Amino acid sequence: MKRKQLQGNLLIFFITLIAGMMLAIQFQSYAEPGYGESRDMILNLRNQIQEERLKHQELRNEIFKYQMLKSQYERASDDEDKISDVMFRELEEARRQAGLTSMEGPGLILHIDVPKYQLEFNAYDARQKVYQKLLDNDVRSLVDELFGNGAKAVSINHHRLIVNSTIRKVSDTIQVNTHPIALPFEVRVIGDADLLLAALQVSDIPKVFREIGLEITPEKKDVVVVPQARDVQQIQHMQRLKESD
Amino acid sequence: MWLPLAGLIIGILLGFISDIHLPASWSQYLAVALLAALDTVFGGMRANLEGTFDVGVFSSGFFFNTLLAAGLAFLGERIGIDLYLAAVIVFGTRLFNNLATIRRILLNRWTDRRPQEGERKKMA
Repeated sequence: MKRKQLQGNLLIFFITLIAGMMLAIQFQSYAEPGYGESRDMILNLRNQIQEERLKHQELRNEIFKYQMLKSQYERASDDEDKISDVMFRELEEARRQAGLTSMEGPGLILHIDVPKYQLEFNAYDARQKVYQKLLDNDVRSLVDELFGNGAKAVSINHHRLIVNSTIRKVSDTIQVNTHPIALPFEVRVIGDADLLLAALQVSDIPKVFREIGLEITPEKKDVVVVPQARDVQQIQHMQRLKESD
Repeated sequence: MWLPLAGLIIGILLGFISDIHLPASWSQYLAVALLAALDTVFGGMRANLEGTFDVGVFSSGFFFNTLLAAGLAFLGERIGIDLYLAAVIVFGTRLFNNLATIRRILLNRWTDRRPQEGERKKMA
């Protein structure tokens, strides 16, 4: 009887021991999970804060710009000539930003072509072979990289790239603004030449081009002329909204 | 009576000292199993206080309930129904009942030890 009771007590002890261990293990395992998640959350929040800060900065710049404009208009409100002057200057600025004027400034000219030794043999065939492998994405990523590093104006083979420019591959030809372009490409960029060169070298775009068989040869220049955008679409179907009182 | 409590406390200490960590996906099963285990332990304490304790019932109940609860949670996850809720509700209710019974029995014992107080209470 006593032995049975001892066995029973031992069993009770071990079972409660196991239950206690389960409790402790669960407590330890569950008290942690926030760790990994919260780190991701912190990174996420940081990125969001960064984006919002940039937006905030841009909006403030815009506000500042409009305030300046408003004060200009106010100062010129007595004199009609001055108003039209200010508006004319605004119009010119808008046209410049839209790419409707040719621009000059320090920058780069990028020559994209097959390597010289291939040209000596059969230039046309060499270029054709590479051209077929070229994708519009490659050209677009190059242009994006340039704009993303402070390029003020970019043109490819004398076609100016503006906000609604397109670079597309249509049945084996690359078209910029629906105009087909052929090798060699001459990309003119106005901007900080050193910064643009550095950015290009850091990105893997020259490597991608080299894998296709194209070499990008940059040429720093003090004065680069980027032509104006040619076929500009007229606004055909937009109408003014009724102004509210 | 104090044996299960001692076992619990020593088990908790051992668990903390050993620093075992289960993968997070298992923590749900362990939680439900833990609920069943605690219910069994407190049920055993109640049965002991009532004098109806049976070691076989206790130990078989422990393992069976624990595995059943974890199994329900696992099955529920596989078939897409929160079956673990059934375990939570049932074992939670039983836990409350057992603790309430334990409390009642202990209180009765405590009042019985002071017969004069008990007399006065009975008269009131």
